[in-house]
Amino acid sequence: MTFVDPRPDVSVEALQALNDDFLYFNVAGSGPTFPVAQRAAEAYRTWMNGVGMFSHVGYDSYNAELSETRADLARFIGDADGASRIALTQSATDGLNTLVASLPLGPGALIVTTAEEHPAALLPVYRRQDRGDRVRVVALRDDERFLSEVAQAFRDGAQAIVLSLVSCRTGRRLPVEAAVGLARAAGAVSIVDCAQALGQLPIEVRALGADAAVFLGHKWLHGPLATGATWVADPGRWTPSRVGWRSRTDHDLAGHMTLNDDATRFEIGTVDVAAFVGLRQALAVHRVLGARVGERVRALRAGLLQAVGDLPLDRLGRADDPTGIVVVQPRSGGGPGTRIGS
Amino acid sequence: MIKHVADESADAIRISFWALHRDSDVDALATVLSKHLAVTA
Repeated sequence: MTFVDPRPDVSVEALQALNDDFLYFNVAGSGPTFPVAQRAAEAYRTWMNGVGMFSHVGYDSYNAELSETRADLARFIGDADGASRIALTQSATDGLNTLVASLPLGPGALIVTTAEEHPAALLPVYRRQDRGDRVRVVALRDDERFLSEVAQAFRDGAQAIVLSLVSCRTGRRLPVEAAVGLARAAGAVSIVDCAQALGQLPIEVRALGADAAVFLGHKWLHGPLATGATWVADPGRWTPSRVGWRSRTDHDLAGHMTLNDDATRFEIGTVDVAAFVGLRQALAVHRVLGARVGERVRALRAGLLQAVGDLPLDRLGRADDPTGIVVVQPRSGGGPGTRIGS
Repeated sequence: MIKHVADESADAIRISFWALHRDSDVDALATVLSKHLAVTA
């Protein structure tokens, strides 16, 4: 039985979830779920509820659908044989919390992050200070200066870096490959937050060079809520900060446990498997659309920048950033009363 | 609907769109922005 259509209708009419009178420009917060993905999730949820998840039929299907989702996500981010490097999560925040708390660092480590990060990344990094770790937040003014400050941090002994591929604050694409390269040269660990990238930019996760990367389904992929994933280059290097019955192959009453060899050691308990079926349907939509997504986003960006060009607004980020995120603020020197209206 | 970003380092609006949006959507947004942006000297 299959619930995912590999060749869905990708017309604007078929993919539009919003009511006709609703103009929505907050995809960076949440992209409305494609109706076809919503239907796939609901069809599976209905079927599963009819057989019971912990029946032999239901649990076999539960495991099979989650396995296929890991494999499908790995293929989608360019790691064709990387299913064992994927852990399914509820969100990017979920994945970042687990990874940052699990960072394999020495005592009193210095951790580098950036001023472009979402609280989903910043707060777990700040929390490491409770263990005696130190945090350095590097600003992004231009790439050269940014990389210089990152390099300085590693000369100062930094053991890890956490940064976004695409900034939620400005829409800029950060020089991640270069920053991660600096980390690798210093023997440091790197985590890349791809929450604002997957679904609007092609991603080859191995080309990023990072030790781990975090994704989610409900923004630019237009998949169901509460779907996310973590990619970990070498799962065996990490000891998860939180574990559950899905994390282990064995345990006993003497306090021993044997964790899964693969990235599922980061998975802890029951998830909404139907949502992940819907996520695979969203990936199928993206595969059919292919390069049209990026082309259309760039064209709309150019049109928007032209349309607001005469307004008294300054743009943050660069005109040619290849993203569907445009951030503007009242023009500098526009007068003491310049403000954004409601 | 757009997002107002207001914290210690920014008072800005974030506009984000995907391939589903139409040119006319962008035009409508620009019109709304120009009407709602209050600028006083």
